[in-house]
Amino acid sequence: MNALRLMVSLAFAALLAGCMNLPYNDPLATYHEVKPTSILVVPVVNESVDVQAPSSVLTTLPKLLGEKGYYVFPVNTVKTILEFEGLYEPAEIHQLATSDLASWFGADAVLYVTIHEWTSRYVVISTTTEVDFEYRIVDKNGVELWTARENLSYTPQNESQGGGMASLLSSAITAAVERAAPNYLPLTREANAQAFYYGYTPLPPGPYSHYYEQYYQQLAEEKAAAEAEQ
Amino acid sequence: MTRILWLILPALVLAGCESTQLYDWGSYEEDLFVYYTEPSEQDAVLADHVAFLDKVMARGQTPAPGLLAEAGTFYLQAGNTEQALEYYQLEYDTWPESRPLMGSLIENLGGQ
Repeated sequence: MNALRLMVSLAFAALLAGCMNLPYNDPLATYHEVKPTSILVVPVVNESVDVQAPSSVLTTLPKLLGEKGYYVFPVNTVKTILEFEGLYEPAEIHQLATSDLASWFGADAVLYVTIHEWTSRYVVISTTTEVDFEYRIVDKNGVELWTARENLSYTPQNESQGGGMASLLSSAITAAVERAAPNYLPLTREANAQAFYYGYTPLPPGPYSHYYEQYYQQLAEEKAAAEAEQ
Repeated sequence: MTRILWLILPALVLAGCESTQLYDWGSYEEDLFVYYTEPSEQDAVLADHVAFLDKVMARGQTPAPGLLAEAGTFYLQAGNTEQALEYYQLEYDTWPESRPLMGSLIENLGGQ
């Protein structure tokens, strides 16, 4: 459904570009040239006081990026290895040279996420959480490929998340998730989706995506058409 | 003109595209979140995750990127190096992009 919207908006943008005779400008030119295949997600920097926030962000990134068609390095394995090397602070990890991180793990690119804000406000009936996340994808040579900033105000739906989830999990885990405030994961899923699918520059599909060939072919056609007009 | 195309395009794209998910992620996100936030449940998470992967592999499907390695790390943290090696090897076999990392993990743990 999400990929559908992406393709439609991409096609529409192609049409618009053709109609308006704009000089050809690809905001993701470097990304399209590098075409990263594997993405290393490092632990999340947390500038808020919510201690579970970084775990929540980290755990909802692999599925999104994997479904976009990338090989995503196992986030807990990466975190564990970094800790074994004495790197417990995400801020410290974010300061390391990207080329070092990328070569240690064998990654094409590194995704850095920073939580600038995570604040819950208790309005009469419900809780509204304001979040501010920043995402950066940097390639193994230290070149920034893609960025996004999401300011989101999230209020959970009244209905519970139960049903399908309960059938997959053991009862112990179901209970644990409900204890740990069940809104963390839906919130970060929504924020991540906003950043990677619905922003001004959605993340291009990766090589395992069904849309990969189509996307780059369309891009080539757009570029050829725009250059022909100039 | 563009308005008409905006109406037609979704139909065209719908006709041409397949909206299948690439992989089955099971309850990985919930499992991992609980692993971090409720350390007393780590054994339950390991068991759940491994059982899920067994099901995926029994169906002949490719497990999602990293999930086999995560099972390895859950085992490693639980003190079971033998099983950790087995799952790191599975990740190595399944995902070419994982090989530099899995290769050095396997070597460091005393595997081949």
